[in-house]
Amino acid sequence: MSDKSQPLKPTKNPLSSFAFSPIGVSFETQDDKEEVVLLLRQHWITNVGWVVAAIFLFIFPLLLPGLVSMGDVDFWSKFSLRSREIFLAIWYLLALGFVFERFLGWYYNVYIVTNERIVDVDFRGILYKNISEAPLSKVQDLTHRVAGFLPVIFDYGDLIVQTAAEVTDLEFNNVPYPSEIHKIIGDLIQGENREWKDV
Amino acid sequence: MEANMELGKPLEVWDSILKIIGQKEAVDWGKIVTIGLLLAIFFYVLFALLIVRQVTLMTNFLGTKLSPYIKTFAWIYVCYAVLVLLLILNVF
Repeated sequence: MSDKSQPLKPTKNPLSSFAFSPIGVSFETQDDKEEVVLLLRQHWITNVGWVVAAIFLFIFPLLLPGLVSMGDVDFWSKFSLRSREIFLAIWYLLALGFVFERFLGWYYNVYIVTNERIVDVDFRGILYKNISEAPLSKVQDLTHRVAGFLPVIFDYGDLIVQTAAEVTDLEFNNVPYPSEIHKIIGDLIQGENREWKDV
Repeated sequence: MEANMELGKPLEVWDSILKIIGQKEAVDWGKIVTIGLLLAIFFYVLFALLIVRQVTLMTNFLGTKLSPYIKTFAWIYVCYAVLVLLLILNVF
């Protein structure tokens, strides 16, 4: 996405937050003739908070002796080797769990745009799953907004897809290049409408 | 006599409490902490299995090149949680 004048190429990177025509991606309710045009996740910058927290969690046990003993007394020598092992094992178990849960939250909360519909996949925590979708023919209006310091710098924002009354509105949060997504979905809707007129 | 008996009951209870408090130095706090940790990690292993279940749901819905690696990592995480449980149980 560095040069917007260039035609978009299929995305190979499985960690991309803006994947155009992604290779090797499919979803459960996908029809045989349906093609994934866009696979979107929240912009990578939204992960910085938990990544910094994770780095801190991983290096904290190394800093702990210095923080507690303030130099002279060796902090760890107060505990038996077994206690230290158990403490570190539990600490890294929890730290790893935190990182894994956050990564899953980012990686699987996706917005899928196909040549037929828009799907919003929402996994919150590990006990909540919500999937909303709207056919392109039911989309009535698209609005995107980029507001705030970081969104302007990194070009990410929200895209609101307003649909016919019987279908829920969809909101893409913190997605990269919202104007580009707006344009792509707009083109798909026009194509879909043309198909309907031809029929 | 009856009144004394009735008064005696609460006193006996109090004596028992005092006995327990008096024996507090004999209480093995290490064992209590270990049992607490064992219970906590046991439930954490169940939580890790729940993550595997959720990862399976996620990868079933959205298949990507990373899906097999994520599934594998979820199982490695369960194994790690079980290893921590065994470590506390003093198996190793």
